[in-house]
Amino acid sequence: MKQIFKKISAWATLVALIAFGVGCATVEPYQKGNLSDYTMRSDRDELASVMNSHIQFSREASTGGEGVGGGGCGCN
Amino acid sequence: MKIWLKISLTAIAALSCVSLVQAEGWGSGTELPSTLEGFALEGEVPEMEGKVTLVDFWASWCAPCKAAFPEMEKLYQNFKDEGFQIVAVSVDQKANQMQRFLDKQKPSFATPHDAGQQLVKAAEISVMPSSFLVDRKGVIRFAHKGWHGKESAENLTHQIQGLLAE
Repeated sequence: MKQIFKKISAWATLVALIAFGVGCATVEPYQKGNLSDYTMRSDRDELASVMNSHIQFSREASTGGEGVGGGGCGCN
Repeated sequence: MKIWLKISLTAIAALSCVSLVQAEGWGSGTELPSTLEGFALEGEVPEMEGKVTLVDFWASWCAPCKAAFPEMEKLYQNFKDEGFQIVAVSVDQKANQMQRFLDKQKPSFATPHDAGQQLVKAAEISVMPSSFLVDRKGVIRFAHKGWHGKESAENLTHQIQGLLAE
């Protein structure tokens, strides 16, 4: 019984490795046209970006904490 | 060693080998055919025989590729009378984007479109842009990866002068 279980485990591992292995694909440098498309940018919609930032700052209580700038000390 | 461990290690090794084995692409010493026919290029493709040719692979979505165009135009204008030519092969998948850039830039040299990406696949380039400087006999003498501004322009000038003098 133990031997059968071991064999099944071995084959399952092999099948899983092959299944995940063939899922890997290499995108050639000349095929990156779609990846560099404007629609692939996460910040392409300015209104949505502002809204998302607003939600995050409200939730995290971190208004003004994005990017470079002052931390509220008034020294910049 | 347990059998499952053996099988797993063998499978991992096999998969690693598959990813490492790659056919060789273009490089220094590769002889190109006198014409680039057979790769279904769209647009004018000049004869390469007897001329020093810069074969450049570019795309309209690739900023460094576009940055190289003014310098390539200068090189072409400087050396075209001595037997130098440029074949700037576009690998754009969207022909209208390629055309928009060409209409704006208006290069004097040939800009065929590798719509099926057959030629660039044969060249097996690893970065965009990539260019290959071919001598009068049709042999690649220099391969350039990427565009590094003034440095690339100076290297190309030096290499073109050398090949034209041969």
